[in-house]
Amino acid sequence: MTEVADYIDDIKKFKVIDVHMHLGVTSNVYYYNYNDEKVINLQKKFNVKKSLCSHCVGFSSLDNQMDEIYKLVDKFGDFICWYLIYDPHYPQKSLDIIDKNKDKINFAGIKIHPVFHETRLDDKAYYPLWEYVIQNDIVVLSHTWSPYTESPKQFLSNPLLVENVLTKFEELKFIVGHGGGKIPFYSEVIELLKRHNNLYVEFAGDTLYPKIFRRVIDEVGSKRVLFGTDMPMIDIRYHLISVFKADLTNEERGNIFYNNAVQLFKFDK
Amino acid sequence: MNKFIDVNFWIKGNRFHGDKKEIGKLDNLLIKNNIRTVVVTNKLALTYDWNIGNNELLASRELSESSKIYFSFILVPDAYFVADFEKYIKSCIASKVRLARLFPKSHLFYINDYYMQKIFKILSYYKIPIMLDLKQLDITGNKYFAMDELKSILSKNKDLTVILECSLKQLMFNRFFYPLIEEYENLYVEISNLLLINQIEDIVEKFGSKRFVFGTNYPNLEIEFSVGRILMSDMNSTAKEDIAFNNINNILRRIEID
Repeated sequence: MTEVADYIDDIKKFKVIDVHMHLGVTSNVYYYNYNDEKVINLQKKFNVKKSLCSHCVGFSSLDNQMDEIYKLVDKFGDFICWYLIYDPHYPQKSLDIIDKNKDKINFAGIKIHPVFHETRLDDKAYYPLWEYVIQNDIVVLSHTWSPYTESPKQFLSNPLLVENVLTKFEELKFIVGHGGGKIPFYSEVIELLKRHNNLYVEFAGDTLYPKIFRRVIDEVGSKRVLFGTDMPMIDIRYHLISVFKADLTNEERGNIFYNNAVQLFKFDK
Repeated sequence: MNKFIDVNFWIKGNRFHGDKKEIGKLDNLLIKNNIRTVVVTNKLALTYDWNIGNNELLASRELSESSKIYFSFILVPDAYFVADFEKYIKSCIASKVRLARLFPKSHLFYINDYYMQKIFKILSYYKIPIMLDLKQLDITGNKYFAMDELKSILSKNKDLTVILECSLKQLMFNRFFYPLIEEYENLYVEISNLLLINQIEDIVEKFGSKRFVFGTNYPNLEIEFSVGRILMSDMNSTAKEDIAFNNINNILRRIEID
């Protein structure tokens, strides 16, 4: 019997909230027979109770984002909670859309993507957003990634820039998406977590490194680590295995998979 | 329960010292994950010197004596100068070498150069598969990857089995490799970096299960990711067995052993 086979059944015993996923496609990836149902059905198969989703089209077009979301609100109901995208090139328009729609959809929070929008994470173009979310007690999930030669634009989302933001906007509830990207930056992100109590982290994406869960929990506890996948870019099964491969108690797994998201996003248990 | 053959397994670095304790650990890891055979590559052959790294593998009596272990060798064009390359390959096969790996970008050579062509001919003759890291094919630094070079190898060496791997996520961006699989029957894909949602199930639906081989890319990735991904899949049992074991087993069995 393989060890992983032992815990496949256990995986399904945990309720899961995926705090970082998408619907829609990305232009450089070929999804064979993509459809939204395929993504959601796979999540449901692995006991995901809620998916916190930003629609990929929203990074390119704020208007198309709302058209797509309204179609999908009918289709998937409460299962999906939506992040609305803040585009720093259109700060007022972004905030107007958020303000107008947040009470009409299952609203989760705001998603920002400094690389896609080619705007540094600590740029002043985000200040109106920081002020708005603090005033309205809204959570922000940001794409963050370590700068590296293959993708130099990632310097715009360098997790170290989060410090500049949180120093000025201490009350901000902020999720460091992808845990800061690559393994060499994880230590820095842990230091950030130690300094800022409103900071949360999730490890969606293609850096699959189970040991990071134990490290973070040993340093800052298990209450600020969330479960994210980056579906459909990354198959959820890899991230479920990652949490199970990590040396964690079931209580810690429960916190990562579900309880912490319930607490942060104020969902009913 | 699926059994596996892992074609993409690294040792050395700072992780493996070839002593009995380490061999015992390795054995436990394989048993735990039902990996029946593992084709190991020495990282030193990639990061320091191909020949020293390759020879170090063979020097480990414990590894050589393990019934679960085959070796993969990293080759460069200058391997052709080894006294008599054909003789060298025959001795490699006798020493349980079952796979050749090429890293043109790291080792700064042109994948289709004069000597590589000769190497490919000999590998084809002895039916030794090669495994290529997609990110390694372009040495100019100007291309995302060198598709033409890959196509050239595949079309000029139709008897050469080419296994495509990728140390980064480019295999996820699979727009380019669907046509390659369709066009070249000698191309196989190693699965450890097929991370996109349902990517393995989708390519099996489109092309069948015969062109994919199992690898973990351990220790760059934990073994459980690839093992678990297959076990947690809804593919039928034939497809799972093909990918986990049968396809690479068939490739390895074709190798001409005296």
